[in-house]
Amino acid sequence: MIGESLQRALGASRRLVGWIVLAGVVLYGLSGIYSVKPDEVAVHQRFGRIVDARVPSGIHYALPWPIDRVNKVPILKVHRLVIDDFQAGDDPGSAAGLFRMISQLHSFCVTGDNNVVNVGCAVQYMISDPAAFLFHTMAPEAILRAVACNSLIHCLAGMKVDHALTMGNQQIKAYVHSEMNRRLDALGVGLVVAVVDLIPLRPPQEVRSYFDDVVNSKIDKRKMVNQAEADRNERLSRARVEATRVENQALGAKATTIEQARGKASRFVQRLSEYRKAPDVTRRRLWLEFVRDVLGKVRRKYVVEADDRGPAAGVRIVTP
Amino acid sequence: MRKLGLAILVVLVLGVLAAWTMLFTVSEREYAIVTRFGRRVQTIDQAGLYVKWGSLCDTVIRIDKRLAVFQTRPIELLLGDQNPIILTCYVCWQVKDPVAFYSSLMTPENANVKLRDMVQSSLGAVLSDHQLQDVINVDANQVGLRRIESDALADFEAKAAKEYGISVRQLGIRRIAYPPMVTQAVHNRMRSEREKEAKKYRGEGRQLAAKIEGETDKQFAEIIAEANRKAEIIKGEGDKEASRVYAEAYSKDREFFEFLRSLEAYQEILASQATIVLSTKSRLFKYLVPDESRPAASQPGSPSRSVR
Repeated sequence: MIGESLQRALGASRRLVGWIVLAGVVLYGLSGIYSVKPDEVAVHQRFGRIVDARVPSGIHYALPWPIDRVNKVPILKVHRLVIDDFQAGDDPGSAAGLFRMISQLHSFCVTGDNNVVNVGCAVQYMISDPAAFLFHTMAPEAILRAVACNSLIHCLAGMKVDHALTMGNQQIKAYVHSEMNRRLDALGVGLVVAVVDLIPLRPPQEVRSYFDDVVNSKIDKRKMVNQAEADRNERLSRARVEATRVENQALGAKATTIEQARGKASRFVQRLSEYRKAPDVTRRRLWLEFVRDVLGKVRRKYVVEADDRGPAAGVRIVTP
Repeated sequence: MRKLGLAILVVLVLGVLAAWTMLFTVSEREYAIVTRFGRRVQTIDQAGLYVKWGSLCDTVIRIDKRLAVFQTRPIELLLGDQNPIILTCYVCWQVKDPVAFYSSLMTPENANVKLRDMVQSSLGAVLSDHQLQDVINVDANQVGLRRIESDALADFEAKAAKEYGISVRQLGIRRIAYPPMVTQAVHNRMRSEREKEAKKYRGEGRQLAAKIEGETDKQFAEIIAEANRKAEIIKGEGDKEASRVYAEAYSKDREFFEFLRSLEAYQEILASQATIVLSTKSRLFKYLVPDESRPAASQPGSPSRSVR
């Protein structure tokens, strides 16, 4: 009785174990299912060797551990690295500050005309080759930083400081961008630079005020010219006002002269018509009126007895 | 039936144990060297699954074959023209010959230290052949940094590849700095250059302003002169017109006009200050002194002449 029931129990437990083992095997097999998100790419390896370097997004199957391995890499994600190696400042958190701490030296970039400037940039990059990124490099970011610094040095070493500080921004950006990608490609790092944002270049603190003064001097120059031009406009408009005044005055004078002439002419014509009625009498009358007017005003008058020889005896005519 | 099951179980367990000790994988990022009792028996440079004798006699040494990068410490070097310059550079390298690498260096960490010294000597040797104008130049095509880098790389790799089994993939200047004295001198030169430039701009400004001022003076004078000229012309027109009007009127009787005009002229000449001496024979006094002998037809004499 007992043996029978034991045997039944054993049989049941054996079936149970069997089910459990089966379930375990199925679960183990199912553990190889994995999904790749839309912004990712997976690298599928079997015993360490890459069997598919670019598994696209979706549901996939790989053999379970320890046979297959899957690494997922976000290839659409944009990473950002700030290159502050050539910036001013003693902040030990920055690359420049660290350099200052180690060497006690200033951080800067040297331009082609042997000026020094502080320069920096922010590099936005993406993973272009997931397999290379995962297995080909130890420290992708360190390489990226080194390459960025190198590109900046190369670019500025052939550029005048004035150009670099003013119009060179686009050129520096373009150069750093292409040079970095060229070097990263040559190394096969698996990274690609998408965008380089240049942090505005600045002259070092010690000489900055002098650079600012150059900018100010350009403004001063423009100011002087503007002031002179404003003066010119003001003076010339005054001159034009004066010119108008002179011309108007002349017009007035012209009118006066002409009107005066007309007046006199018409008076003459009137007198003439009167004169013509009785020429001798009028003439005599006019003469007498004139003599009266003139002699009436003159204060010193001498009347001398005339002899026949001269106009006035003993009087010499003296002209001044 | 039960024995068979047991046997399968035993074989399975033994198989797993054997696999555990005899199989090993090599990943894409490494080389593997298999040594048996210390002697190298196999070098693996392909990733995958490999077999070795048990853990007791075979050892697997894994050597990283990934690209490594290191940076040199800042060193002061003398250029060919005796200019001191402080440089750091980066070096990207990787193991190409794992056996040579393993037997000479052992680990990537001390590899970096050893390689660093070698790079510095290579760089120093190359730079002593160059002048400052090869490092920096206003003409971008004259900048010789690329050649300095490739020369240093060639020099360095010739030494490193043979001895350490590595390949140098890239060598680049990572930083250029100057010793404090030189930095100071550069700052001073920059200052004086900027001062000069600022002076130049202000001078130009003054010059331009003066030029504009001069032009203004000229234009001002021109405008006034032009106005005066026009004014004279206008006045002239007035005079001309007046003359015409006079002429038209006076030509009606020239004699009478002359008579009137003369009277007016005398009137002006004989101002109140004049002294006038008159003869009694003057026609004016014809009725003052009755004298029949005097000719009646004498000319209307002028009241003598004036003496001031």
